[in-house]
Amino acid sequence: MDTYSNITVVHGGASSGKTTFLISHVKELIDTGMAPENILVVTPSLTACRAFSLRLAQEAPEVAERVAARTAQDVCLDTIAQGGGTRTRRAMAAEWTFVLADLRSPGVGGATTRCCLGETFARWRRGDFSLPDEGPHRHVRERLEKLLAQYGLLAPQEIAPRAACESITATHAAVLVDDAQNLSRATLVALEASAAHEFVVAWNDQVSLKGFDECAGDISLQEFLEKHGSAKVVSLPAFLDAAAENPATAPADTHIKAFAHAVAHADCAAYDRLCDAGAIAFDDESVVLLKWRTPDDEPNGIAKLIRSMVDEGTALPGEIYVAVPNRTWGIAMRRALTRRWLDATMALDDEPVRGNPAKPAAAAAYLAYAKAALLADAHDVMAWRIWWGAGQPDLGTGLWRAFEEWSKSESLSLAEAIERIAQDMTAIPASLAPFAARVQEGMSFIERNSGLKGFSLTQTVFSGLADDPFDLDDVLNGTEDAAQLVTIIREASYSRTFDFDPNHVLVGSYRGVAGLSPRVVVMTGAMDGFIPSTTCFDSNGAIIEGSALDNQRAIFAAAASKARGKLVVSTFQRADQDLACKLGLRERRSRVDAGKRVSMLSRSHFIEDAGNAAPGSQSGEQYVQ
Amino acid sequence: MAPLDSMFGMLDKIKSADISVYQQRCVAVRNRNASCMRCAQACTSGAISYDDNQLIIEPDKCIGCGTCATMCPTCALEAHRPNDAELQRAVLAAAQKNGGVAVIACRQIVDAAGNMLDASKVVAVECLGRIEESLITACAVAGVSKVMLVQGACAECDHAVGLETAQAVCDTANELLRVWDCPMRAKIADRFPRDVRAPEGRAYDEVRRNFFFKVKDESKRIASTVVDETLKEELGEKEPEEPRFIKVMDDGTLPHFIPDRRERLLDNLAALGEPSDELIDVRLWGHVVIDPDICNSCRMCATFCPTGALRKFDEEDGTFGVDHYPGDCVKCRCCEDICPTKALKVYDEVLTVDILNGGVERNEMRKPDINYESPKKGMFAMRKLLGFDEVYER
Repeated sequence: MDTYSNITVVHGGASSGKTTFLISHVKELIDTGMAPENILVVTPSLTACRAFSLRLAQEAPEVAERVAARTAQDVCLDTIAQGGGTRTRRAMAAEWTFVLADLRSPGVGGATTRCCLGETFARWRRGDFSLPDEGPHRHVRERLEKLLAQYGLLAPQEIAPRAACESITATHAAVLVDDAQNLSRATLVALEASAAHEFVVAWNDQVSLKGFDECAGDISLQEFLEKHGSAKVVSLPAFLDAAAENPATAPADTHIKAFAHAVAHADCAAYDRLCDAGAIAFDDESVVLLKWRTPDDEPNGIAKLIRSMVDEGTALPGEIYVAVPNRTWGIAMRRALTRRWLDATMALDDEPVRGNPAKPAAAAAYLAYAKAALLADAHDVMAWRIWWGAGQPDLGTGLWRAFEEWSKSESLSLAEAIERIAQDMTAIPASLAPFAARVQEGMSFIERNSGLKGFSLTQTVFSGLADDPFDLDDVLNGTEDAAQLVTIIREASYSRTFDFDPNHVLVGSYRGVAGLSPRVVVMTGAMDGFIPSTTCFDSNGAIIEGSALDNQRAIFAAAASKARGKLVVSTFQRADQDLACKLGLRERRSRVDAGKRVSMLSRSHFIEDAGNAAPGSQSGEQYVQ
Repeated sequence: MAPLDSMFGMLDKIKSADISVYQQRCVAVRNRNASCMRCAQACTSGAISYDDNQLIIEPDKCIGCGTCATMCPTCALEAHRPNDAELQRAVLAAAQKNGGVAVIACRQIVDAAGNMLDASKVVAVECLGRIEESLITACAVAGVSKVMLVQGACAECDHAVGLETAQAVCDTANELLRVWDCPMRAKIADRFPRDVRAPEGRAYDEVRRNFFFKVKDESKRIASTVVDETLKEELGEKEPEEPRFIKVMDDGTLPHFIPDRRERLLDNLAALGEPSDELIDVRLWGHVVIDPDICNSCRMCATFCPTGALRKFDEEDGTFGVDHYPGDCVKCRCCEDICPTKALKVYDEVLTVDILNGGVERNEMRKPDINYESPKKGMFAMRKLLGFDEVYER
């Protein structure tokens, strides 16, 4: 690995200028004669990719379109495809659910299966793809590989390690990786091998976020530097240190960064130092902590606040990011913004096809996806699997297994077997009749609707569901055929992104702000139970220190640090007890209010941890007047 | 020389670095007929004034003692650096090191004690007036056995009112702790307990140094603000003025706010368990009684109540009036001051069970004698109702 001489590692904290460094480096490479097509920029998420391309377009408009910006996972998948692998597509969570259901074997307990999976993932992370010795572990592993092969899928956990193990030939002269701290060791190996001459890595050495890479967090900056002894290291000065040294030139967002730093480290000493140095004015209002009376008041109040910011010219709608704790909040925020005549684009972390496929509510969405996938490719075995199993209590595992065995006895692949059933229902044993009837139903659906596009297609596929069941309105342009629709759903299952219209307010998860640099960040629902989530509290309501808390603290701090001009942290005081319980909000105490029992709620633990750096809370109603 | 109005503008700009002012929470700002001036009365350095419907703090006079913030019933003034959360954290950490006894002392006596104190066991505050009930009850919840507020030469100090405030806070906290059957008590002491003496060779210089830096920075900050403001004046960069009037919400009342301190105090009391069922007379809660015979049903009390302790209700059967939630009352006496017919009185005694459980008292009112048939008639009726002529049709 360590054969390069042109490795550059640029590291620093949030807003220290790492991405700016990468952009200037791209320009520098082009100035020295490198063709823009030979440069690849890699980011952990699709949102960060688009944001990088937009920034590059502002800095170097003439070449921006020719410089490729891709997600790390896409690069890994391409690498595996180039290596000639038969499995080239990442399994969506929906598909993985069916793989796990099919993995259940008679005689092998659930605990053994789970244990075996854990061991398999650990081996993959080490680059060990050999089969284990005899025993139940080997049996489960063989079954897993067979299932993945028959569906043509890659498990999310194996993508980066497999890519790293491929004999890769360099694809680009220069590869530049942003936010490398969020990637795994295997991914970095694969990316480095893609670079012929220049490999540049930007690393935030203070806050890393999990969730962009299944194996993330297994390599530290120090270890990376040790492995690359010849690397050129660029240490960007810490933002807060620079502000403390030159308070007169401290940027306007110093308080925001100090607040984020205080949250990340649960220590406000840096903030105090900056105040003493005069880098943060005592009446600085770039960080605002709002308190609403109830959760119902929050979306309307925040929408009113954003409306006034837009009207006053504080920011364009596209420069405002509203971080929401969950889907319910996202939908409420978008509705509230619409009521104030503001368009919003939403991208949350959850996958388009989600929930328990055995339950009717979620099964409808699974079937919608299966319909689209079957129209795109009638030989998609996984689509047939979902078409058959969604909505059944055991996901139709028993008959599906019988079908697999019958196709094996007939020496047919599953796709061929399905085709045969479609042609002749009597070809299979009578015990498989319900399955055959379902296949016939699917085939007639394909015949009726093949070739549909755009609105007709979505109406057919999503019939009986909500208008936009997968929240894809922002990315669908209304002309897609089935194959394109399925590609969009699959892409969104890995990394959702926004449409980046300057007139659209961005509504996304706390984590989704990574890679962006909005002027205003509004963090809604900053409550105990949301962030940190209920899993971070014990039954007595005491906080549980651990990796889950650290991870969420990092997400909270990273979201806060991204604001360039204004950070609004929004909380609320009380909620109906039933609602609070349903949402998982942490109750400090309860009381009766107007005849109803209400829970008095606790704002996010992370705000308290920020100590002096946290501003005093203000009434939301008073603030938006 | 700068014109006088310009100087006033500058004074408004130069707020204290140690105290944040939230104008919209101040009852005197919300309604000019409110008589509350507890902050200004508590501030013996004369840093606080009320002018042109605004609360103003003159930073060159403010010593950052935080007494005004303790006295303010609506937390329109908030002390920071340390803020309440940070101070509480420091006090609990010090108490843990000191065997469960929290020792908080006036900065002057800490400085005077010099190297004799163990800095990790004592928390120094500018003035004991900074301490309030939520901090003391938080100590009780955390299992602290005793809270000692060590006074210096407070009786001779220019800011002696801080000691009086601290005594009132201790009395209130001790009364609450008694009612909640908690053995911990807070008391004001003349000298440090033996346990906080420093081991040989440990100095307290660090704290002292910080204090001096703070003073220096304060002067620098004021100077830079004056220069900045003057330059802006010269360059014609006039910042837009903040709105001077607070708007009513959809329900016709001004926005409400329950201060964080009050919420923390209630949380702490809830954590201590159930109180004994009795009437208590403390500085924090009041009990509103409305005389229905005198009341003219204007419901201005609910409109201006800063915390929503008085809330309007309008039932479908036509009954209407004001609900009173004693637990949310902060005894600012705004309602009493502004009642046009003096039908409302705030009593000092409240039932302990009402404090936490959201007890409510319904005050039904008679239909007001207002003719809404035309705007003109409504205007004259409102003039009559409110007792003054400055009501206009719009």
